[in-house]
Amino acid sequence: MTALGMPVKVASESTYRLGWDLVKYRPALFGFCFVCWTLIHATPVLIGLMVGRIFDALAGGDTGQGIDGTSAWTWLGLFTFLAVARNGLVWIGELRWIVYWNDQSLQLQRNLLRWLLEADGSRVLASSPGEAVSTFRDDVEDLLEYVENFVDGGGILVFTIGSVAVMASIDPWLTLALVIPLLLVVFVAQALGPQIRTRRRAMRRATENVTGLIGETFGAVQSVKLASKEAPMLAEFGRRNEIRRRAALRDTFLTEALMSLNLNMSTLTIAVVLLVSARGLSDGSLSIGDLVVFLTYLPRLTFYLAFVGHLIAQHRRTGVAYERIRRLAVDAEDDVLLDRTRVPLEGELGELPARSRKPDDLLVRLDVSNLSFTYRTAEAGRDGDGQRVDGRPGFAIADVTFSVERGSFNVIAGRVGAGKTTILRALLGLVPADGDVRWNGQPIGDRASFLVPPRSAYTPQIPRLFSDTLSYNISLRESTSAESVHSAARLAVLDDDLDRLAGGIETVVGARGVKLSGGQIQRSAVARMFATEADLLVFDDLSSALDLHTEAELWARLFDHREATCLVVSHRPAALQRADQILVVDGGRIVDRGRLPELLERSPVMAELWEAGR
Amino acid sequence: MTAPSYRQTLVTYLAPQRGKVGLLAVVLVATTGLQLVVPLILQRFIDGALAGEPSAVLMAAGVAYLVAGLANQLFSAVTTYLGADVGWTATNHLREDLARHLLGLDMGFHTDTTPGEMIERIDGDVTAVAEFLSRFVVKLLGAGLLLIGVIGVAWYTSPLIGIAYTGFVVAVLAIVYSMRTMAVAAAEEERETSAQLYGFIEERLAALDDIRANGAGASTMRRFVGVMRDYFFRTTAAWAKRTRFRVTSNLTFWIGSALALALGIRLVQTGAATVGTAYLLYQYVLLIQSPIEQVTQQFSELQKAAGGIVRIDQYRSIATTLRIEGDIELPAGPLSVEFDAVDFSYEDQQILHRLTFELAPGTVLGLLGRTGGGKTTTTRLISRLYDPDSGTVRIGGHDLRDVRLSSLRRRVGVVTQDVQLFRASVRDNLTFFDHRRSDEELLTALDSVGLGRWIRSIGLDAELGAGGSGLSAGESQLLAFARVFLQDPGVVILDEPASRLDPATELLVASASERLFAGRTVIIIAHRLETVRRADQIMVIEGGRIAEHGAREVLAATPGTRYARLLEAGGGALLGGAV
Repeated sequence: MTALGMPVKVASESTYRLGWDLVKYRPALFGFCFVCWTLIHATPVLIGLMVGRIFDALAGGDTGQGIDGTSAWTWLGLFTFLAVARNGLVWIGELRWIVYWNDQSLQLQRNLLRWLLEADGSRVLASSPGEAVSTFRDDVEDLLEYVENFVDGGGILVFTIGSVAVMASIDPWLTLALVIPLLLVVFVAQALGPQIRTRRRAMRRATENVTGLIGETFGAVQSVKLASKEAPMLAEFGRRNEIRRRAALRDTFLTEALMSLNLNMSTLTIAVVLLVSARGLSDGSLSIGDLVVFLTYLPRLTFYLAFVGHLIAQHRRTGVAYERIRRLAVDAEDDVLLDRTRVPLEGELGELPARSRKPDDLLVRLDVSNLSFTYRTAEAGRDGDGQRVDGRPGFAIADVTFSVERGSFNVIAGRVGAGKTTILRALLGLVPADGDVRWNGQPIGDRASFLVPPRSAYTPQIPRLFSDTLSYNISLRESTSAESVHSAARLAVLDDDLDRLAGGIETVVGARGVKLSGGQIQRSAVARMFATEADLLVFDDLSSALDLHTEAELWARLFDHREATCLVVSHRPAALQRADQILVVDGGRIVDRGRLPELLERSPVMAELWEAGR
Repeated sequence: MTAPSYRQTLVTYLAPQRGKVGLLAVVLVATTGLQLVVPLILQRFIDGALAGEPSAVLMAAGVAYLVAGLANQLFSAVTTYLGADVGWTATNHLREDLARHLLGLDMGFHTDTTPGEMIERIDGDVTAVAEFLSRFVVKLLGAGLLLIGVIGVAWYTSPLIGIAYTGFVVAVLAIVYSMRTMAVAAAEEERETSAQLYGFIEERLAALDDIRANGAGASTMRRFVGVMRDYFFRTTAAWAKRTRFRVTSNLTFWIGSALALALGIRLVQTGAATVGTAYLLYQYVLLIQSPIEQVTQQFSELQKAAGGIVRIDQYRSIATTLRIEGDIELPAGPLSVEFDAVDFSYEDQQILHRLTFELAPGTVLGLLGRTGGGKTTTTRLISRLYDPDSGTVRIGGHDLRDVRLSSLRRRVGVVTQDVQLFRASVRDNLTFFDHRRSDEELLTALDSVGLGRWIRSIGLDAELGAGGSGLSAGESQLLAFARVFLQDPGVVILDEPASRLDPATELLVASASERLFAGRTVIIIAHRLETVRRADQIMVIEGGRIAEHGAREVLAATPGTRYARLLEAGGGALLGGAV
């Protein structure tokens, strides 16, 4: 994996290979689109010829003997036929291309999301989910644009060769004199490319600064009002607005300059044709039709050559986009990201395999030894809003060793920032930690894919709900029965809330559960964990959203209901008093362990936590 | 959407830029003129060549073509640039006016809206309007002028050609107009489906730990299939609609070209026109194609701008309810606080009932009571975030309504429970971007709260991350204290943070508050009994009424008082507001 923020260098050949790998997803459809668009781009060569012949006929043809009406109408008929046929092709080609584009976008997005959610090993987003989504959207779009260039490229090449050949057959020297400056345009456009990107980036940054300030001003609107600082905040807003206006104008200027350059080139070449052909028209070596052919070809030829410049830039951008996709996927191989299994756009979906519990999935004993992990910049945990949840870069847990017996209640206690959450995440394989973890004495290979239901389940400190029904948020699978969802909700002390919510268990909870209170979100996540019927239950701190009474009630209901093995981060009396084992954590290490009474006597950290928790 | 509100918006924000707008109009007319002239030069050139004119005359036409062509391009680039300039300047003013207006609204408004919504209103809607101003108007005007010019030249050439062109242009406009709703609907549909797809992905990425550690990967991917199917079918349908629009418009112009050529052939055959004129007819069809297509592409922008202006108008019509503002400036030093029979209700629910009490300057009051009892509301009335329904709040002996609002807010310092920080330097976070404060003042304030060492190691210009990431909860708290030190108020309101601090930071916060309280009137909303041990007076608010108010020592010593009972139970839990 490339270190964050490092410039990425991508070999050019590998980008071609990437393009080739991409089109192999649906080769037949791609081939169809390719043929369609090649015809669409190439027909203007013929259409230009027709227009030329019409004007030759009007001007009296090669003989100069008055109007050749028959010939003019014939050519016009052909012109009309070609024009209409070409439009038909555009219609068909576009409709097929829409299917290709969307299908392949989804293929890439599916592959990426599946890797992040399902593959073995640890997956930590190096950026906020919002930024990661832009990789799903924008970088995937870059890849598709690259494929689109292949679709267009053939036809553009045919037109370029065809039109140059026709023009050269009319006047080779004039043609040469036109093509050379046009190639110059490609070169200049190429040279300006990086400039344009720099200015685009500057524009995007300026925009982020403006929207960021609006968000923060209104997020902190009470503080701003209370401090009577409306005026300086607005002044800052004005300042950032002005910077953004300048950036936008610089961006517009460059884009316009480039566009003008292209159009000017077309004007310039036509002017050259007019000047040079003046003599030829006078002495009869050039016909009016020939002139019209030149006039018809040149604007399109200029446009297509500018497109070649765009192609080169796109080629480079594609390499970078793919690299960003790979960085998001951390350690995925190409065959994972480019997996050619079709996206199931129609037909029945097979049932999910039921969770089967093998005898050895029952926990007898979990042994953790020498669990160690150090946060690098990329892994310093960030939640959905980009807020740091735990782990500053450089923070480490080291030599964490403990065992959990079947049916025991284990509490991890420690001050804020002691490393409690990190220990849980390292154990569950959510961060790539070192150490040896054994399930019933057997070493676990990949913790991330092993410590899942029916063996273990987890409630993070800041659980995340989805904008769906409460029932789905608890079950997370369609196949879970309503009964078991209800009983999980009851266990999680959510039953009173269900009565109060208008839609009961089918209430739609809003984006990230905004329609629920913090406590309801937390208990829904606990219910989600209960619904898995896992053996080992791992809870991160519940106290930020549950009051003392509710937390105590939760433990009571859980133990009345069934035998469970729990690993819990907490500093609440209800948990500490119940604990068979308390692990006292400080500075990323376990500094003491035992039952509450003995720890209260000998551990100052424990004594302090006990006081605070009451 | 009514025409007057478009016009009013245009007039308000374009008037200050009269000069540039005038120049823009001139350049626009010039561009249009040149666009019309270029095909005319080709016409002369072809007719001249066929008439066997000397090549010098033809060369002159060639040069004229070059000059007109280059000037045309230059002017059209200038048009776009000027349009963007005028658009950005105008909409930046609109953004700032709107931000000022919204920032001035009451807290009642802000509690119902999210910052994301504000971004959408102040930036999203206004950007749509910017697009409208800088592109649509310019393109629409340009296209309109060009169409009129083309028809004019056509009529000038011959009435028959005039009739043909007028007919064609009317037909094209009718077709485009009849299909625009479909194009706009397609654009909307696309935005909606992509919002759903990426919303799903974003939520799952945010919940990576939840999904992975609960083995929900496979079932989530299965659900994703449904989302993908929906996206695929709706998006391809929407794109197909857009394609239909494009292909139809394209076909119209190809047929138009064919008709123009046919007309040319016929006219040349009957001797009614020259070959050059026939070419002109063909060129003019091509000339109007791209402006008309551009205008149709901008229809969805128009729709967005219309929605934007409507919403902007709605927001601008919301007025603040704090209408009366006096001009008394509050003096320096500690101030008295007095509530006289204050009633207050919010959304039809009465929160405070005839609240009456008085605090002498320099008193430290500990405010206790259950969450929702009215403690926070009471303090918000002192800062005049709301006005009471009846009764009077006085500060330093003045009715709040007689005091200048900015003076009041300067003299009442508030530390809220959650400290709100900006993605900006420590300096800007302390001063709220007020650049008039000197470094010494800032350093003194930071020294007073015990952050002196910290700030000297990172510097005032060190950037804080979004939401204050990079700071611990304790450090944010201390930074909020430093803000109040800088403000040097006469009344300090401290809403004790419920979040747990580690003991070392707790100590720093305690000593910083000690210094902050000295020589000021203080109201502490407390969640722990520990916090109010230094208070002179205790007030317990229950159900919006004062349940108990008196000197702390007296209440503590009197058995049976609520405060004494609380002390006895010793539990923060009894306060019910700890979390």
